[in-house]
Amino acid sequence: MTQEKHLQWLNRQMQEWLNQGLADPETVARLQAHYRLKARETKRLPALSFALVILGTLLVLLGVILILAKNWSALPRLARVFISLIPLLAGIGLGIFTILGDKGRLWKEISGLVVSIGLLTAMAMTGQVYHVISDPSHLFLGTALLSLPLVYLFSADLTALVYLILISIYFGVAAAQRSLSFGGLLLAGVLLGGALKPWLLMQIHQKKLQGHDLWLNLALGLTGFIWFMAMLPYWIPWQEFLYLYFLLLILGDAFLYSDAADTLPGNWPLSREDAEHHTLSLLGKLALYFLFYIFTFRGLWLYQAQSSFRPMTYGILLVLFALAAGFTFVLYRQSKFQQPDLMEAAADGGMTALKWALPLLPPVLILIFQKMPDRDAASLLAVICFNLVFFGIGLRLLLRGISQNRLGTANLGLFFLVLIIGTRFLDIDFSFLVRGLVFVALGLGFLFTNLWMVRKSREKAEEPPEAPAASDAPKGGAAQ
Amino acid sequence: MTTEKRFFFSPWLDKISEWRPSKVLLLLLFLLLAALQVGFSIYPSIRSESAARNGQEYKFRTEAYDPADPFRGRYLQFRLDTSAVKNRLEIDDSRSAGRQICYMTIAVGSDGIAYFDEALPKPPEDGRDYIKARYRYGSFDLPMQQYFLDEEIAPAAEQAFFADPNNCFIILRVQKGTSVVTGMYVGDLLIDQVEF
Repeated sequence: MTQEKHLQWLNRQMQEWLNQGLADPETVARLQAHYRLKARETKRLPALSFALVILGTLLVLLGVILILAKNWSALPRLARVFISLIPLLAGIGLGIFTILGDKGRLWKEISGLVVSIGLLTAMAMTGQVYHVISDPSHLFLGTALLSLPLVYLFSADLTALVYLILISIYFGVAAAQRSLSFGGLLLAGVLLGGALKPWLLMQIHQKKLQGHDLWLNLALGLTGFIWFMAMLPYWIPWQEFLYLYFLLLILGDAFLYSDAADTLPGNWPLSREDAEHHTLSLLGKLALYFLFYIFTFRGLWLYQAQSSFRPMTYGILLVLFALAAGFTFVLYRQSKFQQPDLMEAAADGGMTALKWALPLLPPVLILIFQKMPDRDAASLLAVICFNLVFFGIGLRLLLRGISQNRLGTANLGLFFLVLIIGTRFLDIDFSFLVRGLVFVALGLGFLFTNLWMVRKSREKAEEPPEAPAASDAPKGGAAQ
Repeated sequence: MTTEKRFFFSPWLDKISEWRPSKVLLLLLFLLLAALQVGFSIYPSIRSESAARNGQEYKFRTEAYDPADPFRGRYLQFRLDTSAVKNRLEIDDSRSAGRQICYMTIAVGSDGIAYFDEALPKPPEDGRDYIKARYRYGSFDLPMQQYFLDEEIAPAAEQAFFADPNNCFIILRVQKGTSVVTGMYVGDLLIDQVEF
């Protein structure tokens, strides 16, 4: 049972104590205020706070890298060398502050992250300033090895993740360049992977490593995606195939299970039981989100969407509308029988239609943008729409996961956010300066939101607990 | 209640778990690591700056086009000619399938334009300037292939190159095997100053 459910159970019990006169209203009010505050302090705020601070820090760091990547060639060489060291020096300063101030896990995570990314920036920028690039595999290997001690010093999860990513890139580049023999790659893999093993053992030993929900979700998503990519015939346009793929999965789930409302494209399963019982729907939704992600690339809109969608889009759009309308009608009928109020039933039907409208967005937007004469403007509008939608999906999943205390959902939301942020970071279709400024602004937004929430929470905590209303008081019993 | 699973190394992990380093020790370890990190980051800059200030200057003919890198911004990709290099390497195709580090000496032609003369397995001992490169399947990967530019200049610079493709040069400064590119020119025009 989750802490949320514990609290609900406790509230029900307290109501019973009141009704039976076992406790007076003031005591119950004090108890309720105490547990509300405790729950807020121990669970939701730190989780949300942690996510916002990490997201904010990551965005600011990536923004700084983008601003540096503008190549301020008007500045003298030595000034640029010094500027390239600023993120690393800032990370070291944060680390010293964290140690001297006996700061907690969050500060250690942020310090490790800033140092690692600062290190990568400094090493990459040196080559940029002097126009001489060392082997990229060495760049990633050097950064990974110099970041590794932080994993042990600070017990920093994110730095461990950065280390894993960096050595994966190193292996990827080394394999592509064939700079290592197969035996060399294997040996490097054992040594570099093994370097993290003591930390992993320690985490498991201290019971800090949990959250297999994320890995489960990712494994499912990847399996579906690999399966999809492997079986995709070359002669079918992949966008249309993807539509059919996720549609069949979601519809199949809807017909197999009675509680079809859970399979709606706009609903994400919150509990593990839901996910396990609706695996087909889960995979379908992942494919849908993957499709939304694909549509955030401008190149696709500029060069592919107009041509590759033309032959089948209209037919598929028609089928989708028909299926969505039929499904919505079934749900509407169900809700009508349960709810005599026609307005409520209509509202349910409307909400259902809205959730079904999500997968219809790409073809509808394609039809709109196909009619626009200016392809540049149309593609820009399209990618802005899809970036906002995908960012919104990630943020919704993250917030919903946190508010419902579902780690898997929150992790998935966080993964989507990192995915879209990382993609736009690497996207060369937008100016470095513009991306850098947007990233810094977004990062500061997250950090200030977090600061505001912390202050608000403190203010609430300092307020005296509210006494229960007179109507809530027990009618008779020992208290009276 | 479940019993915790124990391994042969669990007692060591127990001991490590109980170990709490003092603040001073943690700070010392962190400062040591930070010094290493700053040192490794800044060392290439020191060597490169020394080469840029004191190295021998060479002018190479080249051609270029404009791509971008997510971390380092826009640059002009260029390629220096290595087709006339005299290969003195002892190629062992059975080991690493014909890949190895090599040292390429620099010579200057009668027209004042530099070129890569020889590919050697070790740095030359006769004092000739050289750069470190990578030999791979009969071709040479050079460390200088990109000239980084302000993003607003890069497309115009590429156009300038396309307008006069046979008159493009880079200036390379070399000192004890360390090389840096200090300028890129279309004719006499430094590419950083191209008007757009």
